[in-house]
Amino acid sequence: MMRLTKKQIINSKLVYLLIIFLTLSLFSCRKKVTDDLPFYDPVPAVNALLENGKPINIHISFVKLPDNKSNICKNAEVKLFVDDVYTETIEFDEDMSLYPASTIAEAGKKYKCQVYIPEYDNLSAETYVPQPVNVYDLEYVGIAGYDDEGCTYPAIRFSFDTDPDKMMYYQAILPRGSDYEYRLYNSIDPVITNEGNEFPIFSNEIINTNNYRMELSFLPGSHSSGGFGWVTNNPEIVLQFRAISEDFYKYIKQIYLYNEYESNIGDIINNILAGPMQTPSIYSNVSGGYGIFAGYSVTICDTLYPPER
Amino acid sequence: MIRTTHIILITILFLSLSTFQVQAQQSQQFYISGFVNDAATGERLIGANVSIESINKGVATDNLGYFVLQVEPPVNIIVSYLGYKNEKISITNNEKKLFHVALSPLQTDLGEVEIVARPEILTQQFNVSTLSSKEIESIPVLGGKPDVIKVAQLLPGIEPMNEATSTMIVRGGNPGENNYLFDNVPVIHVSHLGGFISVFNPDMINSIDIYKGGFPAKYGDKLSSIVNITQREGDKSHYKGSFSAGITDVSFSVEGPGGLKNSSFIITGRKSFFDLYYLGVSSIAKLVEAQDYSFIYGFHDINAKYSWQMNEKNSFHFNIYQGDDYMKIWMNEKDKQSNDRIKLNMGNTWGNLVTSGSWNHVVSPKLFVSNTLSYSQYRLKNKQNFYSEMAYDTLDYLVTGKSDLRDILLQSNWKYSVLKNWNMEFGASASFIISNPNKYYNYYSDIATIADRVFALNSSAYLDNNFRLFNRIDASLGVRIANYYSEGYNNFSVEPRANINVKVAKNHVLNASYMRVTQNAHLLFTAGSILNNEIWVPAGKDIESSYSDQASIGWRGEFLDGMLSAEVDVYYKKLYNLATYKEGYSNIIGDGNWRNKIMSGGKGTSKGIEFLMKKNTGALTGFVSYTFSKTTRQYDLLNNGLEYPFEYDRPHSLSIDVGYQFNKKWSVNALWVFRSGMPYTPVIAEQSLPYIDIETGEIYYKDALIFGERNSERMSPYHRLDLAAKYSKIGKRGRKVEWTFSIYNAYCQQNAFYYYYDNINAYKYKHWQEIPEGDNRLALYKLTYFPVVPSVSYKVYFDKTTRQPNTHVKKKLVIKDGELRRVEKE
Repeated sequence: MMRLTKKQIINSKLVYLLIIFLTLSLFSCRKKVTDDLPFYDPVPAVNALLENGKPINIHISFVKLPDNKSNICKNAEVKLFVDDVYTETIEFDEDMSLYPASTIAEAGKKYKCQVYIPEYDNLSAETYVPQPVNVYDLEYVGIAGYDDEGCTYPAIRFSFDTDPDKMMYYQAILPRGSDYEYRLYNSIDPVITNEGNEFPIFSNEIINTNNYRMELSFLPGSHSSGGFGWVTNNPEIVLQFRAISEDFYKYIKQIYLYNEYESNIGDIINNILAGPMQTPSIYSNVSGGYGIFAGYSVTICDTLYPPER
Repeated sequence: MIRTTHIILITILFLSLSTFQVQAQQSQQFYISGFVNDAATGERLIGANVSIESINKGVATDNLGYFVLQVEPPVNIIVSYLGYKNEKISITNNEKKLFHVALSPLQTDLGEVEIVARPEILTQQFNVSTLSSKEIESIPVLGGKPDVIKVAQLLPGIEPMNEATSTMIVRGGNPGENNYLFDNVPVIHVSHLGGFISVFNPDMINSIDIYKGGFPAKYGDKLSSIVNITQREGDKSHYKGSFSAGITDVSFSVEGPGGLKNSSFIITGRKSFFDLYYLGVSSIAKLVEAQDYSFIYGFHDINAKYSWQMNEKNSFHFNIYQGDDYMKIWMNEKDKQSNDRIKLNMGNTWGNLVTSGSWNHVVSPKLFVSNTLSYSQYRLKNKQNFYSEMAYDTLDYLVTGKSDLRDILLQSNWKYSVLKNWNMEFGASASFIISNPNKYYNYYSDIATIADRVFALNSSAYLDNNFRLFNRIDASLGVRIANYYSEGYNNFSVEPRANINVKVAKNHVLNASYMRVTQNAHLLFTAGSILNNEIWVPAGKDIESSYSDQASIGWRGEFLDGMLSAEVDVYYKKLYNLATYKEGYSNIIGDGNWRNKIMSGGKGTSKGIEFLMKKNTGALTGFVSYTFSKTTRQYDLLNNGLEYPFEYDRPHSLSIDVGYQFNKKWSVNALWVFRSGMPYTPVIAEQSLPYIDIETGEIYYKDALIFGERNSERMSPYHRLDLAAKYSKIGKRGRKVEWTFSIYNAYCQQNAFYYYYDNINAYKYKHWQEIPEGDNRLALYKLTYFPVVPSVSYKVYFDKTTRQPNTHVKKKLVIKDGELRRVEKE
């Protein structure tokens, strides 16, 4: 039997120690640079998403230091214009903590708000509420593809009208009742992939006809059957289709990018090969401040009842 | 206008007179040409000085070891090269015009004196960083083994992308704007291990020149640099090799005569070390049932070159390079009771294949031609195969994605000596490029397969005129004409080049240069993932070719008979039609409409001043390199269309390197690096805004950070000290052995890899717990890697001609006269 000399044993121990040391030395380190973030003058932000057929509510606040509590602005004078015609001046509502208008948003109309806050620059923003979209011929597709684990997933197909001569913007939503129900997954519809991300927020940029048939695939999810394994969900499907203004489209895309950034922070910290991540700026159409003022219309489609799986 | 016309006329008249004068003298003069090689190995010597003894005027050999010189007999020609004995050639008549000069290496331990005629300072190139193999091997780098690109990053105007990476940022250019040429053949992907190790194996490198500006007209296709790597040829006289091991990889080289007379081969290879480590960890984890799959990550590369000097006038060279990085996950489980089976095979592979053949021919002493046919390929591919065999179902699932770029290139490069003071280089190339930026295949789906191949034809012709006027001015005036065609998109470009050296004193030269360069392929990469996410997209109607203009002026001087040299360069560079991902996009694989994800029309500006001082000779050598620069970018869709600092803009960059050779066995090196911190985008406030739930469509208010101007703040400065010691000895079997010990970041500076914002109490609560409002505080954090990293590497040479007798004398300990003494064994 081969025996190791004492010197060889010491050498082998040194090698192991060296390997351990080298491995440890590659570990990353998180270190606080500062929590004394620079102070910036509070700037007002005006936010309102105008839904066709619903009252207009305007939220006005001051941007704040990240550690501070929210800073609602209560002393603003808010004037609302519809199709460039002055409509009303909106007062602050303490209970709602916002500025509720008596005006109901209507599709096809243009809205503008002007905000005057003492000692601040005037703010203004405008948008339009698009006409709701005609959605029809809903169809359930049992097998639309295979997921990462080789399991099938379903999809729905539907048609909607559009106008190829002008840019129009849309959002499709499959509202889910709980975390155990379906979620949108791996869409291969060219109109959605054209947008460069997986969210069904899209324009008619590459649609050249007056209507388009779209496929939205989703994972149906599963739930525990009380100790007898997991059962695939088979819920009813209610498609909500939104026609959105261009401002809404730009804003919501940036919001989801921001959300991705927030949720990926943990991943990049643990990934030695990841570099600095670009920080997304959030779209604003408010002149003189921050915020979003945008409109949309909702079409609720007929309920689809998938066959038993 | 009249004044300009006068100047042109006077210039033409002057040149004509000079030409008449030269022609009058030409009756007694003629050209000689030839090659300079190592007498022992046959290796070509690049940059050897070939000069006329009486007037100390001469030329340097090019990358093929080739020279042309006009002489008037009788004359003596001195051929010299650092570390070699000088060779004298006496020319008494014009019968012989082609010479093969073999220089013998100096045996310094025999007391021979090294006298080297230095190349004329007027002929030295500006805007070029040249590295010798000695410099590459002596400077410490992370991992212990030499890395050419990491050493190049210490020179002025060249920066790494991130700490410890082998990706270069040259004078504010993008990482994809560097043209890496392996014996004049482009290599597309240049790093292993996510950018931490360059693909260029130092065992294969003869010399490396990095052009940062003032490109000769011969070179183009990339905006920011030409990295011209000349590979070694094998030893023509005998077989030899080496083996080396470091903490990241093992490598070998084998070389020797190639079978035919005057032929040689060389093969070098590297294989990562840590595949076995990952495999071992995976195996242990499987044994203890911590995981049920295996994982490896690794790389390899192999270079081979065959050279054949058929006769005095013709030589042939064949090269092949293949290198890959790969990451694989696999599983193969079978349940003995139920016979259920699951197989998983996932993997990413990315790397290059480069092959080439070249023919060099001396047509006459005045005319030389080199023709090369090559094929380069870069590809990134991923595969996911899942197979399950159950009692009730069998599933076989396959998805593959691929992005690749292939380039078939034919080039012909000529050199012609027109007159005594007028040399010409001209040539042409044609390149057929097949780009496949985006291919996705799903075994089950007939609509998910996207084949989006783009063909392009890139052709060019160039002419470079090198004039010498009054023995004080060396001017290179040239033009490169290029045409790129792809799918109806045509880009014709005329690229003027000018490079003028003016000798203002014996050892002092001023330089001015200008160049325009066009690039027809854009490298897309995301700062957030550099591992395997490089995608090349061809220029087209929507994404136009980019181009740059660069002007520079400089001074170079030598002091104390060349012991010290110094240079200063000032440059200004404008970049046009840059392309990048639109905000929020990081990958286009599987996307049939990938062109929509890319924004083009970007502009860039880089300006700076570079300073380099070197101590070239003696036991103590080293350099000080400093760059002050400012680099910006501007895209209409980024930062509200405003100009912003480039992601890798570092205004100050300083490197100080000192090496000392104690004796034949020991040498040490210390390197200190200081750089300004990289820019980042700060948070300036937080706002409450309406958030729309992607799944439910619900709208509610949540807080979101407001970021300020892009890259408007800067991380803390970066600095570190690296130390290295090299020990060489003759081993017990007479073989030369080298040990290199190095410490990276010796004083453990915690340099920021990047900054990010996070909740100050992020780790105080579990992820499912809501953080109370009072604890919801934000802070700026930095992530640091690479504290003190010691490393060691070992290299042994197998060369029987230099093998030395074993001088070790076995000794034993004995007690003599009451003392413990060491005596020789009998």
